[in-house]
Amino acid sequence: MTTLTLTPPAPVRWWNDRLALSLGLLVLVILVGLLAPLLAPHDPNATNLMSRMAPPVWMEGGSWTHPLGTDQIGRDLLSRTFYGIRTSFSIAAFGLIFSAVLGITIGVLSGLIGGWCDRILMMFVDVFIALPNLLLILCGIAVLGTQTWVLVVMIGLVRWEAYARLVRGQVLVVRELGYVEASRVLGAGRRWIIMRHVLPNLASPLIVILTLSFPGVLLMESGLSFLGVGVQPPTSSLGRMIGDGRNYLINAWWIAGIPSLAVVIITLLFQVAGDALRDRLDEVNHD
Amino acid sequence: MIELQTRPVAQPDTFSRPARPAAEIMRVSNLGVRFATKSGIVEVVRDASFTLHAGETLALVGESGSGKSTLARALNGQICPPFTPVRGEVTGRAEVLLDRGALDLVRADSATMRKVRAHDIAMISQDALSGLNPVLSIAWQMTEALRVAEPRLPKAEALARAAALLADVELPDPAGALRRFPHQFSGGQRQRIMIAMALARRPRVLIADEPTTALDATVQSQVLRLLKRLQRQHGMAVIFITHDLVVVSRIADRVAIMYAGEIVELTDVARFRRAPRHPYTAGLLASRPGYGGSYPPLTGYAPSIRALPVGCAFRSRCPRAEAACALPVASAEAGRDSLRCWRPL
Amino acid sequence: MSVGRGDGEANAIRLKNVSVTYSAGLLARRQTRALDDVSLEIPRGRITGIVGESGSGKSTLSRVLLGLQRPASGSVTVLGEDPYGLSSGAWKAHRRKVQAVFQDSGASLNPRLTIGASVREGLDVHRIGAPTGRARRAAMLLGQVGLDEDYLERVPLTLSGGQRQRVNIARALAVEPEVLIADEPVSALDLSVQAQVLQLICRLQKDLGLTVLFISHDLSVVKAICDRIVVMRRGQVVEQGPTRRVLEAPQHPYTMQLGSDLLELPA
Repeated sequence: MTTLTLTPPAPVRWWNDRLALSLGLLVLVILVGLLAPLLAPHDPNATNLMSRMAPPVWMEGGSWTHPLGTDQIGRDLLSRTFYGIRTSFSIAAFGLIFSAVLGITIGVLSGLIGGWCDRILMMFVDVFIALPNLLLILCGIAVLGTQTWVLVVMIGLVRWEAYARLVRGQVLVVRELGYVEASRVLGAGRRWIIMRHVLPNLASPLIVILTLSFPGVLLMESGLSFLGVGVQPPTSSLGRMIGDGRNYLINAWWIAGIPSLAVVIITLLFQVAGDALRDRLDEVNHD
Repeated sequence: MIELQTRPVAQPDTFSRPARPAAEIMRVSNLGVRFATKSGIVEVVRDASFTLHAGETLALVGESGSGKSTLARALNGQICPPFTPVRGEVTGRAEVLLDRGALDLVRADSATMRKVRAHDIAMISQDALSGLNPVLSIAWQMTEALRVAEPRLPKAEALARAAALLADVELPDPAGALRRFPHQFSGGQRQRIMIAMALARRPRVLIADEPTTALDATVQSQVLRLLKRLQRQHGMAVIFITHDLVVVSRIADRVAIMYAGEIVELTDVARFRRAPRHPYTAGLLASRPGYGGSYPPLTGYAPSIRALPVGCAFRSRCPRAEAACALPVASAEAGRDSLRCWRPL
Repeated sequence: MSVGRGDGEANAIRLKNVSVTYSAGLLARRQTRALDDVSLEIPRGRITGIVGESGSGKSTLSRVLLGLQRPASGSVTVLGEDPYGLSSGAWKAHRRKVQAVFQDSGASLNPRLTIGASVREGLDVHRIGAPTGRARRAAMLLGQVGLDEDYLERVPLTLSGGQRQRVNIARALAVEPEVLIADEPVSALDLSVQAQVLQLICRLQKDLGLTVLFISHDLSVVKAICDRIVVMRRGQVVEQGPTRRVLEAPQHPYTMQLGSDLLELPA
């Protein structure tokens, strides 16, 4: 017997919407970083030897003076985490922007001009991929020093080849599309075609890959700071804080644990947002 | 919901002895296909009814979006394929009358449908390349097709039968062809191989979904001639889906014209050509390049299947439309023919 | 204007011994001849059909004429100019005079642009008129191809194939071309829509005095609208002449075969 049971799918509510939820929380995290000077209850670098290794408020001996406790020299962990987010986030963001600009430029040039230009640029990319990233960064820092801009440039140099490849591939695809051909037949020049047709088409895959690679860049910064070659003390970055706290894991886990948790949450939010973004953009493109 | 049947195939209430003339092979009545989409429920096929006799070719003719391919897929049990998120549902009845009894394709469970597809109903599609696996040899794919119908067929015999089938579809050098791979054949040759694979099951009904649309004119007429000969030899009934009226006039015995999900006219091919009764059919014929008659060709576009008007869906484009056409129109049947129109010609 | 193009010139397009080769294959680079020593003349102000099966070189021919595929040898003259021997300024001016409509109506429109933006692209590229005037002209062009102003703000996804092909025609006409190359413009469309688009092309050809090159694999379509036809096979022109003559008294065996496959419904 056939009975009619088909019902249309229910509309998606915002709290069920991965994209809205993860982007909303990310905006919150970014606001915390931006407003760190206003939000932090203490000076992040002020030491207080009287209250060293104070536990978070929910543990025995914790107090509301230091809601997330203090580190081994009595600095307030909540304030340091806020500032750490600020530092790590900005280094990662500038590093990502640097690598994206580099990668997109090289990819567009390579894909659009083609021929010898393409071959040389892609050979360069291949060589870069073959180099071990960490070694490259360590060499760079050893030669140029540990200033923040060096860190940004070095982190930026790590991922650009992936963007260059993606962009070049997309340009090659778009270049052959019917509407680019039609535009060429209309008499449009190269610049017109890039600005009007190629770059707008790159936007959605680029947004997705940049979102998805942000956590990697953030972890790279944290890793370098953890190793002691990244952000220099007394500036707090999430990686630096984890590195500082690793000797006290047994007695005071929160010193390393709280910045670690921040890294995990931010990484997760970016992954979820990137994933949801890809699904959403695919949907738009293939409806 | 489509009731799942877990009972064995030969249960008496699933099969009943055919009480109809032996020539009838399929009887479809009030078949509907609906899909759930974000913007609501879409009825892609509505109230389709027709009968099909053995050895007969029924052409399903319509423009893109008219529901002709969906109707064919419903008959082949492919509306809700496993592992896809599409939610669809088939209503009505589609009985296929086999030697072992009558079976309602709408109510058949997936195991029964697999058996039906292995023995009774074969389907070939427009895109012959996507129907063949590019990394497997033709021999592999042909013997697989043979073993679906006869799992215990010995390998040597399967290969011999495969070669015979390829010879039957007039593929040059059948033995050599078995060793080759799909990309080594032209489009027309690949379509011949697809036909051979469909014939491997000795089906009672062949559903051909635009099998010649992607082919060049010369190759197209060769493949049509081949299909016609094979149909006569094997006594198959063929449901031939196409939008090409020239193809219809060459291959079909009966024609079902579909518009916006409904069969608007069902008749035999001679009547379709000479005296169409539905204004859409007449307009379609008048739209051919080089048409010399006086009936006006079609203007405008078909309505979106998501926003169908009440009443006749064709009335906004119909030169004969009047106020009554806004009323829901039922299918009027006369013998095996049917017509869905308030103002027929 | 360059030399040799008087207004009395009867031919819009002249090809002399044009060959195009592609190399293909992974290791052994095989040379494929897409066009093999093609010579032909296309008269002004007429519809000329180019007929052939897939792989006959008819689409390569259109790319050669549009300046998108440089021939390996031979000379190409379109409206008295060689598209491959022009300076970039002259090239841009030449482009205005030769326009095209392609088979895939959907792929020919950027899905991110509104219909209005697509139609006026040529006006923007060549800076024809003031920006406000361009918007008005886009609306007028849409009217000319039978679409009303509401379409200006819509995106290609919401249009049917036939409507999109009308938009493509409007975009091509925006720059006021003399030659329109239509590469299988109706093969992807439904029959009823095909008839409408064909009628539109014929009407525009007459109204604007266009030279139309109509490329198709469908002999019945070509027979219905073309004054002359050129039959191509395997990169070569096997026969050309007035449509009636070629179809009623074909000289080449291939044309005879094509004609015999041209089946029509009995009236």
